[in-house]
Order: sequence, then C-alpha cells, then structure tokens
Amino acid sequence: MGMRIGRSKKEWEMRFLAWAGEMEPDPSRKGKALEKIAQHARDKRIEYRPGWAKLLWIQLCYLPAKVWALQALFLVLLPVLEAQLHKMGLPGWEAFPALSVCMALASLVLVQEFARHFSYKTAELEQCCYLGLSQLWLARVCCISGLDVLAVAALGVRSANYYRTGWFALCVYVLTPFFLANALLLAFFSWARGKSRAAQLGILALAVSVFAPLFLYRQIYEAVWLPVWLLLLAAGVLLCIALVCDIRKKMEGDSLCWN
Amino acid sequence: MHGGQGVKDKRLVRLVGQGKTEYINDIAQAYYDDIYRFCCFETGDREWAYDLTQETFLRFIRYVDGMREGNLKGYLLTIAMNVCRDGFRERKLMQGEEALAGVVDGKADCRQAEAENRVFLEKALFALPNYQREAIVLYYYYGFGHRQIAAMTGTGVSTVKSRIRQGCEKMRRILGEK
Repeated sequence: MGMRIGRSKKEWEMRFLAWAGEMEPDPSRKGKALEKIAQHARDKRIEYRPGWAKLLWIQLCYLPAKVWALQALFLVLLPVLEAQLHKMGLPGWEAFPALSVCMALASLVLVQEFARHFSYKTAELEQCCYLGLSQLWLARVCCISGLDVLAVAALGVRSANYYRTGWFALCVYVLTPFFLANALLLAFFSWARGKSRAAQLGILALAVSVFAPLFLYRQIYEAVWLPVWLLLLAAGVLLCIALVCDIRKKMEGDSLCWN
Repeated sequence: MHGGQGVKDKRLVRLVGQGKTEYINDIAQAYYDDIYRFCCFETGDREWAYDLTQETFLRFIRYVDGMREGNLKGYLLTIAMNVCRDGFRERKLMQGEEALAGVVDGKADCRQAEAENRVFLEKALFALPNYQREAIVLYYYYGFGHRQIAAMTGTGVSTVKSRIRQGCEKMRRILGEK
C-alpha cells in the first residue's frame, strides 16, 4: 500500500516535523557530549580576525589629515578651473585636457603618501602589523575616489550648457584618465609587488603615459573618438574592480593573529 | 528561523569572537538537537548520529575564529553536512560501499515496526542520493530558502530547485504515487 505524500510544501513540512519529533536525543548521552564540547571550548584560544569592512575602517584611521586636505583642495580646484576655462572662452577641446590632467593628478596625490611608508620602513612592518600598502590604497580608492567621481558628475551636469559635447562626454573625458591612472597605480602596489623590477617599471611607465596623449593629440576629444574613451574607461573601471576584489579576497583569507 | 533567535545568535557569535569561549556552550546547548536530527536525516543511523553531532561541534570550535556574524544555524548545518560526508567516505573506505548500503537498509527495516507513515517516508528519503536528501531536508524541515541552501551546499539556486523537485518526484514514485 502506498502512503499519500502531499504535493504542497505545508504537507511535506508537517510530515518531516512529525518524523523529527521522534528523533529526540537521549538526555544522558547529550549531557556527556555537551561536557566534552565544553572541555574543548575551554581549551580554545580565539584569534581575532576582523571583517573586510572593519579592516578598511582601520586603514582609513591611518590616513593623515594631509591626504584629506589635498583631496578637498582638488574638489575645490576642479570647479574653479572649469569656471576659469569657461570665462576664457576656450572651446571644449582646449579645456578638456586641463580637466583630464587635473583628475589624473588627483590619483597621484594619493601615491605620494606611500613614499612616506617606504622611507619610514613601514613597508617592512607590513607582515607583523598588517599595514598592507595595497589595503591602504584600497581604502583610499574606495572612499576618496567615490568623492571625486561624485564631484566630476556634478561638474559634468553643470557644464552641460557650456560645451557642445554634453555632460556625458565631459564625464568620460575626465574620469577615464583618473580611473586608468588609479588602476595602474593600484596594480603597482598590489599585483606588481614582489614581481620583477621590469614589471614594476612597466606598470609605472604605463601609469605616467596616461597623461601624454591628453596634451599631444587634441583630436582625441572629437566625438569620433568617444567610443575609444568609453572602452578605456570600462577597462580602467574593470581593472580597478578586479584588483579591489583580489585584495579583498586576500584580506578575508588572511590568518594573521590580531590579538 | 525566528528573528529573536537570529539576534541572540549574532550576540553569541560576537562574544565568542571576542574570546569569550564559554558562550560556545550556549550555542551547543541551543543547537544540539537540531544538529542531531540533521545527522539522523543524513545517515539514517541514530547511534552514529551522536558521534557525528559531537564531531560537528568540535569542528565548529576548531574553525570558529573564521566565523562571521551570519546565519549560525546555517553555518552549523553546513559543518554537519561536511562531517556526515566525511563519515560516509570513511565508512566506505573501511567497509566498502555495499556493506554501507546494507547498514542503512537494515536500519530502515528495523524502524519499519515503529510507525508506518514515518517508515514509508524514511525509506523513500534514504533511497535518494545524498545531495537530493540534503536539499529536501534543509528545505522542508529546516525551512531554509533556495538561496540559503545554495550557499550552504556550494551550488547554484537552480541546482537546488531541481534537486528538491527531482527528489520529491522520486519519493512519490517510490511511494507508489503519480
């Protein structure tokens, strides 16, 4: 004789609940097991490992006021520069390189702080104090770049009437060098660390060369080149995301003792 | 899963993370029965389930450092699932696959005398492959959602759905239903 098994979830749940009711563990055996568990719990020494959000917060606490001040300066400088260029009556292709380079330089401001870590031998303390340079960079990229991107978006919307290219193209022209420079420098501090000197120099050279075409070839600001800008922007953003994910994974998987 | 228990679990995990290992006992006390039942569902062997439950909590203690403030019950059940799989693997190595099948069938036969309905269900459940049984038990008895089960078993949501659906169909077939 076949037993009727209902088709609804409720019926299945009721059946399992009734069955589970018969699976009560024997109290004396449960007591013995809990005693053994308590004994192991007493011997356990917990290694404190903060989550990635906590790690980022810790790294942000190490950021000196100078970095924040420089960032604030850039956030002020960018709209001032843009207003000045507009007052001078420059066409878009004359004004854009200045804005692009301004944002690319914003990413370099973050880098100069790292030189201090190297000169004060902080880099050597990474392994015991967990002051990962790549993590410091990540914290800066996440927080400060967010501010920069918001500022650029606001600027683009404000300038939409000035330039024929519109706010979207302006945002692309300004953000592409910023993201490319940031991604390459992040690669330098994370992926290239421990690699050969040639690889490190290659990445640095690439990061620096981002600036060159901005001044040398003004025609790159013509509308026909916009798809190439978009491709480069996408590459920069994707590289940034890939590196950030990689660093985050390493941070979570780390087993250094935090006690 | 109740919200109150979830809040309590988060507090316990935070305290254990701060080094207060005595709170592990509270976790074991709260979830021992659940884990024991899961091991019973997984193995069909109530004696063996005691050992597996204890091993689950010992393994939890070993790896509790890496535990985040997530779903504690889900975390413990995932450990239990892995402990059961390891247990099956060891038994297979020791006795050979056929001997193991004999043990499970034998237990199921013994239990037939206990309650007819339950035995029917048990027989059908243990005729399923492990991965389908896990999905069905976690879904119908423990009340986890497809997404949670996918995270616990390391598979995709659609895989979990098809495991539950195929498992249920197979159980109905075994029980002589269309």
